[in-house]
Amino acid sequence: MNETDDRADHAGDGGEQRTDEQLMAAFQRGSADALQALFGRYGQAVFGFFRRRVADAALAEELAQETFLAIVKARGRYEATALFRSYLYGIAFRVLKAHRRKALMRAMFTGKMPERAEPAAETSLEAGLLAGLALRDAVGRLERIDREMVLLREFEELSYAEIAEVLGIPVNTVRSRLFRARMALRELLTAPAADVKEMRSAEGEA
Amino acid sequence: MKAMENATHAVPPEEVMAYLDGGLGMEDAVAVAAHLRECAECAALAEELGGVSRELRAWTVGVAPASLQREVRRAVRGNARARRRRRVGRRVWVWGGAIAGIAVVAGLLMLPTKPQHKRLASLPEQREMLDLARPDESIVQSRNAGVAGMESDNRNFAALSQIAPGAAAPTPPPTSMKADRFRGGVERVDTNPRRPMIARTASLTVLVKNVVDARAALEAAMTREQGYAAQLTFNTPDDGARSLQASLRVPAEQLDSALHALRELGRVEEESQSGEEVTAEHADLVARLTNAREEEARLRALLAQRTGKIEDVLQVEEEIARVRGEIEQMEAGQKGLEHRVDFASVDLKLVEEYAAKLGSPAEGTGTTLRNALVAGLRNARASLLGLLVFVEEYGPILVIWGALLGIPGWLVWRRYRRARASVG
Repeated sequence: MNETDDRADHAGDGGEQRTDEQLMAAFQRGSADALQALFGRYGQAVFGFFRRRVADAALAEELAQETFLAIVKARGRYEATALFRSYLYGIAFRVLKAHRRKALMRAMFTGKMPERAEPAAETSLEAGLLAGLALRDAVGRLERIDREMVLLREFEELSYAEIAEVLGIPVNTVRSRLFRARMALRELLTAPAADVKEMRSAEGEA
Repeated sequence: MKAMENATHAVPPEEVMAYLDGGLGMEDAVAVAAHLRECAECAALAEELGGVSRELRAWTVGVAPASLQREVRRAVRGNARARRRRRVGRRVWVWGGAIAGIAVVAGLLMLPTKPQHKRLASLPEQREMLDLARPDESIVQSRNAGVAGMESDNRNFAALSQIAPGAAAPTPPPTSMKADRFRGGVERVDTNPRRPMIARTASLTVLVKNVVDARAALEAAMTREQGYAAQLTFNTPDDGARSLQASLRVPAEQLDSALHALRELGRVEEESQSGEEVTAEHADLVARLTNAREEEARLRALLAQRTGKIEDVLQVEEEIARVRGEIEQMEAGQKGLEHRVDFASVDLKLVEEYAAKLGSPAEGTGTTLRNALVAGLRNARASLLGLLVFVEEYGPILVIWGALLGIPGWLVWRRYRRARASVG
C-alpha cells in the first residue's frame, strides 16, 4: 500500500509518479499544484476518515477541509523524514479531537445534545448503507481507542507503527489491543441485532 | 474466544493477525504461513479475523462533495487569511486571560504574607519603629528587662558614679553628654532627644556537643567582646542532658558580634531579640535629680546663712538628709538605666546533646511489657476516641459541603457523560 520511494523519479516528471513526500516537499517550496496532486490522492480518504467518525456528511466535509487547511498553514513544520500518510492522519486525528472537544463543551454548556448519527436519513441512496448502519453501531460499542485503532487499520490502512504514532501509544500496545478489539468486534457482529438494540436503549437510560 | 485459550501455540494469535495485516518481517511471515497450514485452530482464527475485515469493508462512504475540492483549492491560493486572523485574535485572548489569571492568583497569594514580613524586620528597622512608637506597644516585652539594671557589678558602678561616666564603656556613650546638658540647669526636660536610649536584650538557646568545651569558648568570646557573665548556672543531672545557663552583659555596640560568636557555639535552637526604649524614663529621672540637687543646695545655703532656733536648724538638716537620700536613690536608678543601655543583656542557654548511658538501670522485662501493653491500650482508646471526635466535629460540615459540591458535581458529571456519548 505504501508508496514506493523511487529516487529515480525526477522532480519534473508528472505528479503521478512522484512520492507523497516529494510532492509535499514541492508544496513547501511553493508549488500549489503539488498540494492539488496530494489532495487528488488523499481527498477522498480524508473525507472517508471523517465520514466514518462524525454524524453528518456536511460536518465531515468541513473537517476534511480544515485538515487540508492545517496542512497548508503548517507546511513549514513538515519534515521530509516523516511519512506523509502518518503526518496527514496525525493532523486529521488532531482536527477530529479538537472538534470533539468543542462539541463536548457545546453540549455541556448549552445542554443541547447533538442528535446521534442516523445516517439512514441522509444517505439513503448509498450502497453501503444498511451494512454501514449495523457496522457503525458495532464499532461504536468499542472502547474509543480500540475503535480508532480498528478504523485506522481497516479503512485508512495504516501500519501498526503508523497507528502507534497517530494515537501516541506504543506499537506493542497497538498489536495487543487491536487483536482484542477485533475479537470483540467479531462477537458484536455475530450478536443478534435485537440484542444490540436492547443494550443500546439500556445504555441510553443509564 | 477460542484463540485466547491457546497460549501453547507456537505462534501467538496476535502474530496471526499481524501476518494478515502484512505487519511481519519476511522470516516471521514465512513461519506463520507454515503454522497456518498445519494448525486448524489458527487457520480458523485467521478466517475469523479476515471475516471481520471483509464485513467492515461493506461500510462505504459516499464520494467527497466537489465543494471540498473547491474550498481546498481556494485555501491553497491563500484565501485562508481571514480565518487565520480570527484564530490569532482568539489566541491573544487566551494568553491574555491566562496571564491576568496568574497575576490575580499571585496577588492573592502575596497579600497575607505582608504583615508577617514586617514582624520579621531586622533590628535596625526595629529601632526605627521604636523611635515612633511607645515601647510597650511595639515589641515583645522583654522578660528580664527589669532584672538587667538591678544586677550589681561594682566595677561598672564605680565607673558610672564619676561625674563623667564616659570612661566606663569602651566608647563614650551618648548618655553622658545628655546628662551633662541636663545638669546645666534646664528645668523642662527635652523629651525628644536626638538619639533614643534603648536597652537591648537577647535570648539564645544553643545545642552543643559538649558543654564544657562550649563554656571555654564562651568565656573566650566574652573576653574578646569585653562582656562578662552576671550569672552562670551549670547543670549536670545524672540521667539527662547537661546544660549551662548564663546571663551575660555585653557592650551594646558589641551585641551583634557577640551574638554571632555565641551562635558559632553549636546549633541554634531558639533566638529572640528585643529592645526597650528608656529615653523618656531617663530624661524624667535626670530632671527630677536636677531639681533635688537644687533643693539640696538651697537648703545648705539656708543652713549656712541663717542662724535660727535649734529646732529649725534640726528640721533643715533633716530635710537635707531626706533630699540627699532621694538624690542617691535617683542617681542609682540613673546609673542602672544607663548601664542597661550601655550593656545589652543576653540570656544564653547551652544544652548538650543528650546521649543515654548504657548503664542506666532498666526496669524488669515483665514491667516493660506490661507498661507497653497499657500504653498500647491507651493509644487504641485515644485514637478511636479521636476518630469519633473528628466525626462529631467535622461530620456535619462534611455532609453539608458534600451536598453543596457533590450534587452539582454529579449533575455536571452526568451531563458530561451524556454529551460525550452523543459526541461519539
